[in-house]
Amino acid sequence: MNVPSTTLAMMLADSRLPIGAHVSSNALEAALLGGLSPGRIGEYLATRMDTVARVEAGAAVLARHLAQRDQPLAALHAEWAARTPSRAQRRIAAVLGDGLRRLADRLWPGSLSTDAGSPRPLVLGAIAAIAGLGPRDLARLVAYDDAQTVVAAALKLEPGDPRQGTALVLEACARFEPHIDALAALQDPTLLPSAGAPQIEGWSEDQSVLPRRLFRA
Amino acid sequence: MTRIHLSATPSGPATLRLVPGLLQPRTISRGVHRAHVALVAGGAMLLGGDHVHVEIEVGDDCALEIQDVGGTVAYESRGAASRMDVTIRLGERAHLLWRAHPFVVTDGADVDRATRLEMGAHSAVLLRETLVLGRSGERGGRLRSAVRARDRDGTAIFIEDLALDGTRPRAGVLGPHRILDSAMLLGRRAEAETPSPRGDRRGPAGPAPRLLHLERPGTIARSLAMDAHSTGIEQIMDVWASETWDKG
Repeated sequence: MNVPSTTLAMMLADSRLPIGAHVSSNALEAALLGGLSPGRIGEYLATRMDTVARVEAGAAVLARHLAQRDQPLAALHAEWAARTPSRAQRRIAAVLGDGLRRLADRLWPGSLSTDAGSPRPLVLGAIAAIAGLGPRDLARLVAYDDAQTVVAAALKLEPGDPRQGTALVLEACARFEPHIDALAALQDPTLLPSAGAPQIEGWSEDQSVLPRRLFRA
Repeated sequence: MTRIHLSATPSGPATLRLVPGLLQPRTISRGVHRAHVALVAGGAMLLGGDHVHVEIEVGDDCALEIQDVGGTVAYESRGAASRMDVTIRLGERAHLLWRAHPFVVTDGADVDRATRLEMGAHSAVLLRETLVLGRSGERGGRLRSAVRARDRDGTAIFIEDLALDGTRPRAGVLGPHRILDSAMLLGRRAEAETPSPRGDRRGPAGPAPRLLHLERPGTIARSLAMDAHSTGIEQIMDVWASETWDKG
């Protein structure tokens, strides 16, 4: 199947994609319970853009690079996992990766190079390699999805003006833009960025054991 | 450079080689395959432009315990960043326990800190790392703190870069807290699960530590706090040290 990369990017960024991504708030639910005021969601997004989203986008770009060259992804998987100390974050990444992989198996049968249990950024990178999405748009897609996930969850957790949420998503994407050049140039898995965010990691763990939660992650 | 090298001797006590630098190592005790060393600050620590480098090597089958005497304070940098590098190499079945004291980044300080670990097969390390932004009443300066832990063959175990700035607190990094207290157990998973925090954790005892179970064998216990005495990490260090290290 051959579609223009713009169409592909729009499809992969669409929250209606049947991969089960609606179960994640990117730990926003635990963050709000843990004391993050709703007025600071923009700040939360800015931190994610500089930390988690960089690691995820870098892993996707590297997976694309390796998959294009038929090289194994195991070493990259280990590098990503070593930069993702929260088990809850690794688990949801594997769940969402499996959802995406099942979709890709239907769209590009037999082409995907990732195993079951591969985290979402690796599966996304492998899809980008076979379907023709460039590294820069791939990195932007990861950042956009990260921000949109938080904002969509915010509307359920702290209902407010949805237009304000959309503005926050675009601000986050703009914030991410200066990282694009360095991310798009990545070729060596050991050089994957490793920006830690201890409070986000703590909230991710809290979210995984939250009683009566709306979101799984 | 400060060096602490411990290696086994065919018979009798292990060989301990100590080289003083800005930090002074002192032997507390030494036995067969093991040693206990104190690390003493040689003067006012980490002024602008200072570079402290500590190299620790624990040979095959050896166990080393390091105890800090006094914490480390990074003072105002006056234009030149300071740095602290710690390089740790563990042989096969080697063990290291380092109860490091707090690392305080005062107002105006600009510090790079890097801890590199190379872990031999079946080795284990338990490290305390307490990063404190500011002395009391201060907000603290800038700290870039890196940890790079890999197996001998290069496989990544734990890789982290933290960029902290006391004058610019960030939601999601430390939030309003000025202390990041960690117990890092690598090469081995914590045996007993410390009770997981539930519900309101902003009680009088302060926030409960979160346990981060790494993909590779290893567990990191972490607390974000306003006060270094209420993090709960000291107790976890004690439990993990007794689970992992022989008291003999």
